[in-house]
Amino acid sequence: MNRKSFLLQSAVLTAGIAGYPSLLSASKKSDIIFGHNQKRYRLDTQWGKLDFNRYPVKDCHEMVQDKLGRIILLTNETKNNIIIYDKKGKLVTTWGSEYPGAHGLTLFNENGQDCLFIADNNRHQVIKTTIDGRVLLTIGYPKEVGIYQNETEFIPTETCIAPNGDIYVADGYGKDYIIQYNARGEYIRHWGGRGAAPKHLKNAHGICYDDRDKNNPLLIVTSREENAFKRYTLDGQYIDTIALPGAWVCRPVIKGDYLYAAVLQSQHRQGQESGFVTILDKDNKVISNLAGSTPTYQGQVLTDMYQTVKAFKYPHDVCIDDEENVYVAQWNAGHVYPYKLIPVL
Amino acid sequence: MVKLIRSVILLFPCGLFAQDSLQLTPPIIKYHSIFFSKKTQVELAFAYPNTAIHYTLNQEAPAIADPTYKKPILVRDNLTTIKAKVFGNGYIASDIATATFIKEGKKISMIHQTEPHPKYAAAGPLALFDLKGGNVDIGTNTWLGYNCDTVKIQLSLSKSERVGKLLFNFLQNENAWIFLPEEISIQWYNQQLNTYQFFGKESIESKAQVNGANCNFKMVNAMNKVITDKFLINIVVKKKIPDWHPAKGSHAWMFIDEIKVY
Repeated sequence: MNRKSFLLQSAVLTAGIAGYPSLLSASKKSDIIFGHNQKRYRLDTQWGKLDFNRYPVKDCHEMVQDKLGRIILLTNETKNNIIIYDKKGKLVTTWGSEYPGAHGLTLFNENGQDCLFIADNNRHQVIKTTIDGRVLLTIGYPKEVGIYQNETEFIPTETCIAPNGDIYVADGYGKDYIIQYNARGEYIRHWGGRGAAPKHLKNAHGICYDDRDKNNPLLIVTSREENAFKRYTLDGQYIDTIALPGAWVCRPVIKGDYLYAAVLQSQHRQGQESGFVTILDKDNKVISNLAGSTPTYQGQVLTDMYQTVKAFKYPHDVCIDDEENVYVAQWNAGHVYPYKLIPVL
Repeated sequence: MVKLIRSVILLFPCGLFAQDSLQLTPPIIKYHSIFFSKKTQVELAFAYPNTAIHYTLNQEAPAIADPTYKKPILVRDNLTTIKAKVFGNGYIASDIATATFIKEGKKISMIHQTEPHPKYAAAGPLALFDLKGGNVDIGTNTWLGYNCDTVKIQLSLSKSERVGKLLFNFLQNENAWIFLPEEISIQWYNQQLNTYQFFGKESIESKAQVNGANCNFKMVNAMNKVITDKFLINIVVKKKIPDWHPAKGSHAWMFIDEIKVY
């Protein structure tokens, strides 16, 4: 062995030793348990994978489960805006080619029949359809109210439906108003909008109907750039703010006693694929972050949260099925299909 | 053959897990400003079970053998670069988080400079020596932004001092059209001759495309140390965005925050 080859081998050996602790012991994705406390999961990245040539996706924006137990995905790919899976991830059917800005997807059971509400950014509309895609109602911007000069200022991102059929539309990429319509799509009132007061919103990206307290149902609205949720009465009176420092939360999703939300990205690492999933208990305290930092409170104040493991890029929505599995749809994540997280008991 | 087997063994873990394992994210380096007067404490954070932050202060990439972060790091040198990395069983180690902390230096009494673009005027002349900065967000109101050809700066010290170098902190965020300047040239005031004389010059070459945003400091060294209380500084802004950029040919922006004199 001459000096040159000795140095070469030494360098390889050194690299091997230096890399040992992190590389040799690296576990497979499926072996890693994500989350904290009673909300811990294993990750299945293959669950919703389909033949991209036949069933392509762009951004996977939102997901819901219908009364048949099927998982419904909304994408802004107009070859198949809606992709319907069974819980095992097998393709059931697809439909939809007229929703280029498909963004928000909400399911409402109306007199025993499931129907869908699609918030379309590009069309500046909310479209109500049957579960198989027949259009029932189209809602545009509320001309009569005078808060919009034209339809392009209205860019809805989300809807939620109250039990009486009232439709709440979050104008999250427009003027950040919450606009309440009746079941026929007639304007009732609006609130929120931009401003410095606590009642105002910055990127009102999502909304949900929270009836965990059956005697006091209310609305939870995302204020994403503020890293917060805000609570309002059903007629739009501001109640309080749930601060989620560091977390660009998307829509709140209620299942049982818990609130789940995709976190698009971490405040500390914007634009760097730094998303995770957060879970709050019935008191709206964060109890678990999936691929995120351990939730810590100093007194009543939540400390900064951030991504800790690069499991997700930009999570955009979560769906929790009837068996407590969590599905994660992602924006701008290289055309990946939804991931599934299976609870660890 | 032996050599081949040894290489295969050593490289095997990487090849086996690279596709199917997960990487930790870099630790958070917490600070209000990268600029400080006499000393500062820097906190690192990574709240995740079974992981540890290892860090260096010598510009080297952190390894397991480097110190484990346990308490805030005391910083008191003119320039201190903290590099930190997270290691944890079951994961690929994180990329490196880096931050450089900059001490105040000689006391500056006044700075006058070319008027910045009105949208990015920060706190006016004070912005360049108020010890606030280090955040890459241009909305933090610490950056002065320019899209003109040159920026002229007059800098006065509180008293005559022996000076060997000047430090400039720039923002680099090429996706947002914000590039490093092409050149910084400095003259110092010679009181005896009642004239300005050449102090030093730094040409900044445009290298490959840089992704993301970062605070990027440039040091301009004197040919010889001088005793003075005044400097004239000329900064040449990049006039054409390079061809690889979607805005190729457009005038680039230059963002500056803080000048330090040593």
